[in-house]
Amino acid sequence: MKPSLVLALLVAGAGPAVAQGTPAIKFEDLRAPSSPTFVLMGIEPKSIERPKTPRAFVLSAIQAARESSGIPRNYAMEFAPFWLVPHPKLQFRPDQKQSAGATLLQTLAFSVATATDSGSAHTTVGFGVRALVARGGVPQLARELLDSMRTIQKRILETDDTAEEDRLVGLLKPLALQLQPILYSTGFRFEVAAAAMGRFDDGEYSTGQFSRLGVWVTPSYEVAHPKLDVSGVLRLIVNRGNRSGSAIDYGTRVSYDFESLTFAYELVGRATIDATITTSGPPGPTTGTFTLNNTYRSAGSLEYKLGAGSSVSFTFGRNFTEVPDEENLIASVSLNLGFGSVPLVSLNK
Amino acid sequence: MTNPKRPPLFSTSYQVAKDDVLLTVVIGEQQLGSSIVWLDDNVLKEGDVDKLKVGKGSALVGHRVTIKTVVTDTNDMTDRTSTTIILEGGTAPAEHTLSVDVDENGDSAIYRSKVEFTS
Repeated sequence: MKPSLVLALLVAGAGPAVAQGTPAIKFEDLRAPSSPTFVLMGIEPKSIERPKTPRAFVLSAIQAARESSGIPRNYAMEFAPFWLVPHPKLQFRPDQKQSAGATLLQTLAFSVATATDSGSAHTTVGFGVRALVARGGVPQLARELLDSMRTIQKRILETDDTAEEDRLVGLLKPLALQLQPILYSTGFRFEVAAAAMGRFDDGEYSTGQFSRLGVWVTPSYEVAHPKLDVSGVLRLIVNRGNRSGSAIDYGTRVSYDFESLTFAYELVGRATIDATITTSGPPGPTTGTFTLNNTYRSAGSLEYKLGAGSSVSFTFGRNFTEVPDEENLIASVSLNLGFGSVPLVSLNK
Repeated sequence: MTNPKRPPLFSTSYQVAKDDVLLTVVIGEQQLGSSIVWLDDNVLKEGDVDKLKVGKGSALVGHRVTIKTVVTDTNDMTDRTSTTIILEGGTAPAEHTLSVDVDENGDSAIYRSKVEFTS
């Protein structure tokens, strides 16, 4: 297999999208993930421990170590240190400007995971961290949701009927769940994430070796009027050991909404480095190969919203070229009826 | 549907002095909440309660303030909710924090508190 194809597999993690050699990575895939450890390891843990107090955190770690009598197997935990302890005086002030330090402290979250393939003696261990440095502002939709929630809370306060309280609380929940992901989604946001993983054989700590590192940086700026969104991405993946090769993805995406139309353009560059070094012991000779590939993706799209969640879109541009003479034309027309995008015409390789 | 968490009624007393008694209700953990305050059977304030003038200390003896607070878990970093009642203007300031964890994101808690004023 050619080095560039090997890298294509490694860079995109364990996702099936790259299994056929040509990476089908979208701009969104390069954004800082909410769980960098799991993304780097290419796993989706069935259950994730999320301790809410220092005591729960310690108990979870002890329990995991006890059950495995060594390195825990198939264990996943995420925790945000700031929120392990109570903050009874920290009020909800969505419009208050918050310093980068305070934002970082409040959003800093760590994740830890171990994975052991069935029938395998290898255990993969990963550690990750993510945080926001700038959290963004409150968009109009979030303000409207907050107003609705405040109105319902007012009605809860004014009733003495427990059943009515329960009914009104039931109305609050979907609004709260809709609010959470968009609360600070406008203005300037800056997300960072990093993760590293290593491999242990036969549950032996001494066999551990670093195998992979990932770093993500995602700045973005969204303006409400006119609706303009500018995002940047920087993703670095470094592989070692059996998985040689490293890659840097960097790029930007601009989108502009005008009534039912959305214009978008993205330019993403990729540099892949594959180095193999062999030494025959000091002071023996060192041999190796070094391959550097540069490629980029440049694509524009136009989407027309038909209503009721459906849309039709046209995309045209150039895709990454990982192999010389590889077809790289992107030209597609897709129809989205709200159940996912269906290509009508596609030359998208 | 998840019913709200309802911590038991919190009752306390507050020794007044000559000055005005001020009441603050803080909703912590960066959660969305609101309160209503009654002096005996009359609504004093609804919404944010920040240094609310309840009345002259001497005039409050034998009366009581009732507070109802609803907090909704809008903070995706924690399921903890809390409310802190702060009383000032009496013989000494007093502060009481009540806290409960809701089961999951979007759930709510309803707190009820009662403060009797004494001389």
